[in-house]
Amino acid sequence: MAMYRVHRRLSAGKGKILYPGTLSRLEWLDETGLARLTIKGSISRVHAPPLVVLSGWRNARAGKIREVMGINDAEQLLEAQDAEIAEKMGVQPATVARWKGEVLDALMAKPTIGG
Amino acid sequence: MATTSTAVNACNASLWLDDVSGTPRDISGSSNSIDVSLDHNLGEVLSFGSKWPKRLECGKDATVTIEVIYSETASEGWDVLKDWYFATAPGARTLTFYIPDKNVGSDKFETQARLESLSWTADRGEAGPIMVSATLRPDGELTHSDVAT
Repeated sequence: MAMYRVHRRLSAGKGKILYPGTLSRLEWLDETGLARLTIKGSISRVHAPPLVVLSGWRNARAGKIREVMGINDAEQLLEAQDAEIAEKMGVQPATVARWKGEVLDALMAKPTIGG
Repeated sequence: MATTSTAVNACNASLWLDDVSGTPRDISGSSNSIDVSLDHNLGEVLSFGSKWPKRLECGKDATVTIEVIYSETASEGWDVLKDWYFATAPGARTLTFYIPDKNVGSDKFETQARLESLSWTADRGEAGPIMVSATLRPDGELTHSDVAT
């Protein structure tokens, strides 16, 4: 499932707001809804960079995760199950969560005021 | 330049207002107009020799005027507004409206609003319904978001 960057404040129901700069899969929306928000410029697909170009990933970790799991870019990493990564990479699930947090931080734009 | 293909009208706009118990009521079926004025407080800067003013900006404000049909059913527009005005402590209530409809991608405007005025004319010569005009003012920020649910 694709990852989207939020450009304008989105009302996601029950008081939940997605602020500009955040990333979301918006998995509850159908193609029509995603297309409408995209046309409005409210969201856009994240074109995830290869892991190897991200700060902190220019090392053997990016090469190993590609070799072991076939994961090349940030989106693939975020989509993968934590437990599966932990098992195949031989690390703790908490480590996987930290990796994902680093990648999310790297992809996320600074929030803007308003929007 | 290509003509826009995404122009919208107000046929399916959706208007919601909290009732006295804080329950959002869909009053779209008993209203037919939302007039919105978004204001920006500007101040002029003019000096000797300048023809065109520079402007400083400060606060924002808004006025929302809605037209509701004078009807007799509980929780319709007039009922909610009437209860609001005559409440001992009217207070601020949540006003939400969606343009052009309530579907994904629509504009959602929301604020805590106070009722500034309520007016209507009962005219014996008018066969159409009595229309009630209510002017609401934000008590705090008027927010905008896109519907994503």
